[in-house]
Amino acid sequence: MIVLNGVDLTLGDRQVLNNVSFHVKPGETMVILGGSGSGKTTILRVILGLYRPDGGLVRIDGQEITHLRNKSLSRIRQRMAMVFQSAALFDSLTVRENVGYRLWENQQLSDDEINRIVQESLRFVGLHDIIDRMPAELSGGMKKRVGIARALASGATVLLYDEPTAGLDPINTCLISRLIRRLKEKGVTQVVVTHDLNTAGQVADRIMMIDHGHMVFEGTLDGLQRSTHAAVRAFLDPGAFGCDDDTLFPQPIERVE
Amino acid sequence: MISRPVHVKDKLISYFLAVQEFTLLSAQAIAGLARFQRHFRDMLVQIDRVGVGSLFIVVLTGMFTGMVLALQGAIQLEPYGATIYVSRLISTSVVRELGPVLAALMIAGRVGTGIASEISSMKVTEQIDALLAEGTDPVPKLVTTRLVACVLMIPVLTIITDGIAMFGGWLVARLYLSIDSYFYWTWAFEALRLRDLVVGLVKPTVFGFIIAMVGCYVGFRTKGGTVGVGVSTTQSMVSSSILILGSDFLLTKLFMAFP
Repeated sequence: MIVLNGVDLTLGDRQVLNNVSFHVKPGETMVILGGSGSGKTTILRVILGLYRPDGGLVRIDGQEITHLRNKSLSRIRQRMAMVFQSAALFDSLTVRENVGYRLWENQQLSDDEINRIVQESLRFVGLHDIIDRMPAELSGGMKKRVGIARALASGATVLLYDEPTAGLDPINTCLISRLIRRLKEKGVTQVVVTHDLNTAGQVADRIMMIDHGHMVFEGTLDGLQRSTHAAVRAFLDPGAFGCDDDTLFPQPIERVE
Repeated sequence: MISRPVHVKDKLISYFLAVQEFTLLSAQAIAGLARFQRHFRDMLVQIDRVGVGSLFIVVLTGMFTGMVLALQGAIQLEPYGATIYVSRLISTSVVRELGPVLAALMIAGRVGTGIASEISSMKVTEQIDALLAEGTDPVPKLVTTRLVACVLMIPVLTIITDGIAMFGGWLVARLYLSIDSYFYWTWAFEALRLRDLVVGLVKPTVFGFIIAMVGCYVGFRTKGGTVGVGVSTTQSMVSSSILILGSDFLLTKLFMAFP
């Protein structure tokens, strides 16, 4: 179970998170919605312990991680895996080495066993035929799926996704959403950061929305659509809330013939 | 044009913090040696990259340095009828100073910038965050392996540079100055003392530390996208070169204090 309680975080001179509190139950898929720069990715980094909050607490499976030393944090991170927005595959390693990275690092399984897990994970994401390719040879969608396979092979029980469908075509977006749903069926706890409402609708058990570091909504997709909060309305219906030419060009262009 | 006021105090604090961070990273990298077996394969890869990969440039550096020293030395020694002693000049100047410094500067250009650009690219593409997310401490894996490779291989490359420089000097002495090979090599080795060899090995070890740590440090603190990678690469070359030349002076002075 993931619990964030009253988390504040300031980076530089900017407060990125302000009193953020929510929890994710085991096996649940929580979607964090919000515009660019709203603090969505920062929440994932706080959960992973990459950022230490200035205030509040973060609990993973009952253990408070805010003040843990790096070594203890590494042990907590072994239970989690993250699919990065850029996929963040290690470009000096093959797909096989990327997917089995954590298993090879931990040195607890034989090479044959690791290879079997790697192949299974790649088969799960439909990419078992690219096992010996380098990341530079893959498309954006393939990289994201290899990122999911890497998370899967690591045996993590908590998966964090940072914009998993950003920049992908509709088919790849659909494939990624389907993978997230299949993992939900397997009982994996998932936190998905996205600004794509379609993806959110397809995978979410619950939705949380963040705006300029403040939580503005937590509930179901239906609840989100019924919400009267100005930030939620602006996100759902941008045309009615300032996404027009007047906003882009506040001063009329003067033309002199 | 209005320029922004320079806050000297802020600048000083930022330099102080940079030194503190550099020291901390160095300490963490040395502490990472305790887990060297875990990253032994990465270390071998780095040793191959630094050692074998830099062989060609240090051979060329040594060859031309030795040849130029022979030509210039002969001009200075000829009025005194001492051209035959040119090998003394070549061996002492190469082993004490030019070999370690020139090899280190060339390796800083090739290896140090490579380290900086590789780590900074990993930083901006979130690969270092991915390592952390995988539960791997990036310092032993990325920094300790490169530090060990540089500290082990740069002295070896310096010995090769020294040897090739003396060989290059011999080529010019034999073919251009008509100095007998026996005299050349006898005077070359006769001029060297044990202390010169110690100095010639301590310096490249220190330079290896500087090249690896500066490359890793600037790589880790990279900000921004591809522009940041470029800035880090340049910064690595400039900082390494200045630190190599500065520490060369300090080490020379230190060794002079112990005759």
